[in-house]
Amino acid sequence: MKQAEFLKIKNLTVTLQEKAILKGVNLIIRKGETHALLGPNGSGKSTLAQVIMGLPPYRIKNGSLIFEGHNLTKLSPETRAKLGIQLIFQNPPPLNGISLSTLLPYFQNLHKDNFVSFQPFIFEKEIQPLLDRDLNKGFSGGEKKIAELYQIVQLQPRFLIIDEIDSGLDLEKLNKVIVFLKKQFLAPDKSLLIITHREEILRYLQPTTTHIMKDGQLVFSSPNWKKIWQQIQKYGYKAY
Amino acid sequence: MVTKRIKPIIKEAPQSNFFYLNHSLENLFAPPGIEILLSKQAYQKYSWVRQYFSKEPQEGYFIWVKKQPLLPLTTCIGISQNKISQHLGNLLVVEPNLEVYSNVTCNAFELDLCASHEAQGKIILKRGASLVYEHLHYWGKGDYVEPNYEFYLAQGARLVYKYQVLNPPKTLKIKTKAELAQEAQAELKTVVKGHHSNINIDEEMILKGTKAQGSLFLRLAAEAQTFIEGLSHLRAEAESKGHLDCRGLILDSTSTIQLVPALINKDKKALLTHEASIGRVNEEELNYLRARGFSLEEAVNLIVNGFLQVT
Repeated sequence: MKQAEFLKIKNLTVTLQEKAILKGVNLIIRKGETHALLGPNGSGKSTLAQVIMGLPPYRIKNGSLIFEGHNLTKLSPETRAKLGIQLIFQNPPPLNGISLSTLLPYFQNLHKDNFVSFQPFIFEKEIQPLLDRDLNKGFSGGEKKIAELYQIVQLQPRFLIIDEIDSGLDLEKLNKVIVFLKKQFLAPDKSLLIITHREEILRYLQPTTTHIMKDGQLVFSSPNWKKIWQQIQKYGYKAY
Repeated sequence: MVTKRIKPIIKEAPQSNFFYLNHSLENLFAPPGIEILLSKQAYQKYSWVRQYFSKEPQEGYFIWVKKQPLLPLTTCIGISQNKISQHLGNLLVVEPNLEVYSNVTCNAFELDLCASHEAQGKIILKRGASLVYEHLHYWGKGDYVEPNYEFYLAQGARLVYKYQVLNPPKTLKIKTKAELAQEAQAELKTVVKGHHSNINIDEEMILKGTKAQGSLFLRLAAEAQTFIEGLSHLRAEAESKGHLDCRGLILDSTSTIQLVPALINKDKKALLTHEASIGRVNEEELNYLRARGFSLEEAVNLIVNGFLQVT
């Protein structure tokens, strides 16, 4: 029996300065599922992630986003975060005078219901020297990703969107991240939407469904990620 | 809540080395090797003190550090009555090669006293002396405040001066001047957030001796019909290095920040640099924090507090 719908995106059209970036996207993600989103650069993958999170400057022109019965289009990013949605940013911005040490006590207060005071973290050694520095300021690509993961571990989202976690991480760290994500977020009451260009991620996470996005549309979806990957390897995204 | 932040200052005030309330001395504790007096007593007791005052002071402190202190020196000047008008003349003298940490708090104990606090301060750091001076102000919405501090650094002296206004008065006129002799080093950091305030800042650093090094940092945030005018002068009169860093953050369209950084170089071997900017809250930072669950107001507060951090 199929799980209940967690996120339902229906005919979503999004514009930026009157130009359509997403053109009628339909997507259903159920609890316990992992969805992978592949596609060429500029196809709209990151836009979809940001629109689910409620981030400007995009404007929803048509369609709906429903998360556990809540119409997300009316909700602020912070309300969406409190519902349990989180995004691991591809390029998180540098914050002046704000460190992880500043943010963590706030997380505890903000997310009273699902905050767990101590969460084991795989990059404990790497995170220590970053805790008191201005967040993301002068961080390497890998350090930014580790800082993103650290926050997510504290926030314990139920619906996690990951936008290219692979960029900036070496293979060894990437493998650790994948194992960690699998342990933390592959659960019957959680879901993952992962934007990636890496086979390793697909192989380890074994997505329930893999989608191809091109020119703002989901042009192909299949439970067989291997076949999709083979086609991309062989023909590129022209195959779709 | 504003009152929650005032109370701890009041609680700690009686234990200060020098606690002066309205027009009277409430507590004075001088550790061994440190002389602490009312400045008018020092003016009468020591003839050398008189050169630092334009006229005999009626209020204020005199602190003379003659031996290495073991603990930070704490000074608290408070106002608790309506329409009090303080005119303080303060003098701090640190003898050669001593290291001092000074914590100075000036505040109104209530937010609606419409009081006035004017302070003329001189800080003398003798050869090789070192001072970290944390100066905190906390005022009510109708107060008039005018701190005027001058720092004189002898050869090889070191100074870190951080002036921060935790709650702004209605009118604030800050005047700060530092003169650095040979190989002296100083950082002057001024952090102010205005709210229904008229703020004027006039600061000057003069690099007088060779190999002197100095920095001026200004962090200003303005909201709710605040006008801030900042003039920062960095002057090199010898082979030296100086840097000026002025930044303003405008939090609404009813406020204005006007910054004028000035570099004056009179020595071809001196190097003076500056950075200056006035902007608004960065949208990308704001959205990032909101995506982490912070409300718009919480995210703005975090960003403003972060901006006002000068370490």
